[in-house]
Amino acid sequence: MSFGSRRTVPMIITFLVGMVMFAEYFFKMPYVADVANMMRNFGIVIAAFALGLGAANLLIIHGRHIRKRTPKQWYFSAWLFIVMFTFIAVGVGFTVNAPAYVWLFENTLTPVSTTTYSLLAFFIASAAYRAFRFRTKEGALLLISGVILMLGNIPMVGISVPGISALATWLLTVPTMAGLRAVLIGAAVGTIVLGVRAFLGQERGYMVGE
Amino acid sequence: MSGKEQSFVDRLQRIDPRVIYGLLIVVLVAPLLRPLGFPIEITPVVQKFHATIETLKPGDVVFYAFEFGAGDYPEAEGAGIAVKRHLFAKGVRIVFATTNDQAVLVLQKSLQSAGIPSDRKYGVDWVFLGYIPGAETAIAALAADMHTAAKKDHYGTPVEQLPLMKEVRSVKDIELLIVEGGGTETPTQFVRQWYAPYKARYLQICISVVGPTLQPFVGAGQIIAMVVGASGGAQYELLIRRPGIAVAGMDAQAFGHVLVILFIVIGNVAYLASKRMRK
Repeated sequence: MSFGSRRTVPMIITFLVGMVMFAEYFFKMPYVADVANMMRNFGIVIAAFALGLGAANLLIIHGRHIRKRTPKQWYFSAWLFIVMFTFIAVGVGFTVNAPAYVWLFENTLTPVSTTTYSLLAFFIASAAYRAFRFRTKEGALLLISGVILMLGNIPMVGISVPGISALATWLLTVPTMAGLRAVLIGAAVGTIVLGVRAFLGQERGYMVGE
Repeated sequence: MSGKEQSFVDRLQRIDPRVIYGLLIVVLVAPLLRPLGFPIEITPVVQKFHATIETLKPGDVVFYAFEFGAGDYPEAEGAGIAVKRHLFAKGVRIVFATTNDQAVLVLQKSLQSAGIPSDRKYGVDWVFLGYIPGAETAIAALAADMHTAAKKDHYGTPVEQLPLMKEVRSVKDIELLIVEGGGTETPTQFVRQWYAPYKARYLQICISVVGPTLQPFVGAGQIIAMVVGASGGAQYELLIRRPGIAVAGMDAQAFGHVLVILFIVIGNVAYLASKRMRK
């Protein structure tokens, strides 16, 4: 395939698919909805294939580490292979609903994930103690609002100190929401611009080698 | 001020993290072993969530997207269990699905904890469409046509053979959408693909760090209400009069917050004192 068609064909596909989805979203037209639905289902199938591709990619990268005995890495790669193939063997051999697979999941992934997440409580406590200092005006604002939100989250404080819950809710629903709305609207405008550029063939980041 | 006092003030500014970790363990574990039962205030947003489910009639269909992975699930476990118990008690029919591969087994654990009433039959009163890859594409496809997005349920039964799914084809057949988990990205995708084009009634359960990020959608009315974290879960358990794991954890959470505030106060008092001494 020539360089021109390698660029042109994906651009035409992007334009056509984009136009169909655009038309289906904004104008309720017969037939277009069916085509859009078909394309969404293509997306699901492609995503399923991408999972397999991801697994293959892991095998290549970590297989290379094991072959080359990369220092401080190869044994982690080997461990990844052991865990990965154990899960695949049990999942494919007995199905993912089988007690063996559920046992593996609940006794490996669940405690590891939960422990990692729970460590946040300790890191946040330590970080809050170090970071929430009255050094600048901005830091003072962060400190005061952080303490009010924490107090508002303590049920007994919310009941015994009138107004603290309302103040915490106000912080969340007025200043925080205003800031987040600005971020969301900014991101939305950026996405529209990106979409228009992709339609016009000016955005080529999704094409390999561009 | 003497050098000894000065070093004490300096030490208060640099407390060893291990001291903080150790004290945090104590204040978290002690109330779990010996609960004190502090009163819990029910907030309007949790009341609104509860009231929205109360509007459902027996037989109405709820689409329940369960998106929690194993790591973040425990924080909102109480909330999810309480909401599922409420739904089953209301006699509504539920279509479960997920776009997170890890959530498949976590949902089954959650359903087991919630306890599916013996008179609620699989296929008739509830179904589980399983994991559907494709993130936002899958969410959009489910809204348009669930039968093509998921041809079989999680257990391999063709969707057409499930009595409940004979009546449910798209978002138009759904009375209410509930999303449990999914970080900030998946709820945003549901707003884009379920609320914006179809005006689906949407409730959200999430962990505490995600709550503020989704607040703009609640403010805009796109998400009707949210139950956030263990605190929201405890309130919901009280609303359905079935105190459980979230209520049990609230004393621990309260003491944890108090300890963090205490350390922040100590750090700041020491900082201001050392600043005055330097002057």
